[in-house]
Amino acid sequence: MNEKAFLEKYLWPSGDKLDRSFTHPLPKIPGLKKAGDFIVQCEHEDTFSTNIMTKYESASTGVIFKEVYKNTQNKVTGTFVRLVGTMSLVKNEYPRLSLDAAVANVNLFTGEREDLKTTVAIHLPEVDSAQRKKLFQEFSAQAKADGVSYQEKEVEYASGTKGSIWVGESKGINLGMIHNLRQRAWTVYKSFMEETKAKIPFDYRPAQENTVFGSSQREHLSFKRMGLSVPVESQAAFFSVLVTGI
Amino acid sequence: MNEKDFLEKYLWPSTDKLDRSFTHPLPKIPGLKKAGDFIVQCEHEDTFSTNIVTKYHSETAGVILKEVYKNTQNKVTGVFVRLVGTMSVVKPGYPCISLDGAISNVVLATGERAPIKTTVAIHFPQVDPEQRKKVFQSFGERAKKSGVSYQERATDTMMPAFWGPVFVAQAEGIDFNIIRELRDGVWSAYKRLIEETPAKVPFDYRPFQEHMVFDTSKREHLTFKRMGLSVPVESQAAFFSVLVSGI
Repeated sequence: MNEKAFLEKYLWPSGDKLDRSFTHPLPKIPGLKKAGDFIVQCEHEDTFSTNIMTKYESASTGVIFKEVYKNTQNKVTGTFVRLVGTMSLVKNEYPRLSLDAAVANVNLFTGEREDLKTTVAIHLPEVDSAQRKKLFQEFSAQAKADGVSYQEKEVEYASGTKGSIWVGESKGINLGMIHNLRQRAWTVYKSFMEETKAKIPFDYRPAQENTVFGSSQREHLSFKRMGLSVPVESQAAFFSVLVTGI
Repeated sequence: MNEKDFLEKYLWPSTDKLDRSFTHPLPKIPGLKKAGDFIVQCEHEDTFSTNIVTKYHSETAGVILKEVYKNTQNKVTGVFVRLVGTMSVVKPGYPCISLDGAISNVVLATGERAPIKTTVAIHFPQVDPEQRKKVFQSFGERAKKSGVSYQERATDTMMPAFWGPVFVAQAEGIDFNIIRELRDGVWSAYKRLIEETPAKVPFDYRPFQEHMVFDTSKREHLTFKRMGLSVPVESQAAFFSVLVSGI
């Protein structure tokens, strides 16, 4: 074993292959500083699933902001689900807000191939239903102004409990809609923090467990229906970056 | 927005920069087939932490093998902890055994800079303590034969009771042979265990998985910090998620 070669050549960082002309400006959160660049990737059978994530912290607002650019694609069939600016916002002792921004050529629920569509989903699972309804109205106002369709959907969370998510949809690739809803997510979260008392201590663990273990299992199966081979491990790792560290 | 550009150029897979001349042969598990290539990476401040993980599955043995080549290094100070062939083996219905093969120029416990050392740690949580003892004895024999020091280390009170002691072998310098010898030993011992013991169905892996993803990742974030390595909790949580989920 050549020690010099091991020291110099063993393993170096991978570069990401994200074309940054498709990224959004950051929401206007004062004092954001980068706190980590992440790549989580899996290649299996004909599918690759590449997650490029960045973590930011703002000392002045106490907020942790993470954003995701992701491509899960079958190299043979061309089926893809891309996340273009998915983000999560959380301030210690407050619930997490996450915004899922997908551009896909496949139906996310049935797995059938279809025309390109942009779907934005807002999740606030740790907020009580009355408050959530109020916050969702803000997103509806934004969608209305942008002329895109929206609805509140009843869903079953990975824990088995029920709640609602807010969903906006648009034909084709609508990065403008994502951009506006991202900016709105910050103003909504900001006023929520200002108007709501912190819950000390806030127990993030149930939602973290549901996401890392429950959602990863569900999404593995959901991807399978779309002809995308994404192991549970890949989604679990992606969700771990998204929900831990608080 | 140019749709054609978005379709063709948005985001493509990263390539790993692992020099495969430093990898080990796979343990002799019959029928192993690749079931996923993973990269988990974080860059923060002067530190990068890159994990190259491969998952294999054997239908004949019913076993899942994962192996890890990892480098966590401070680009300025040169401090590093490298995993060279860390692996985990599990057959559903049986506890998961894992081997950590570390080569570092820093003391893992104190964070002080030190001459290069190879440390192999074998963890066998959720197994019957008598069985663990027997399995660890077989590792002791292999370490003795290879002329390296070894011990069974009791885990501290921060660890869950089901974890049990850890087998640790250490050698000065870069010692790939001890990693290889013990990697082979892990499969032989695990094979014997699954042949001699009935499966426990259903087996509850969740306490072990939660401990790794949520607790160990926090601890290791702090351990790395002591060594001058800036590895966010998220990075270790993602790495452990690949290692322990999907059973």
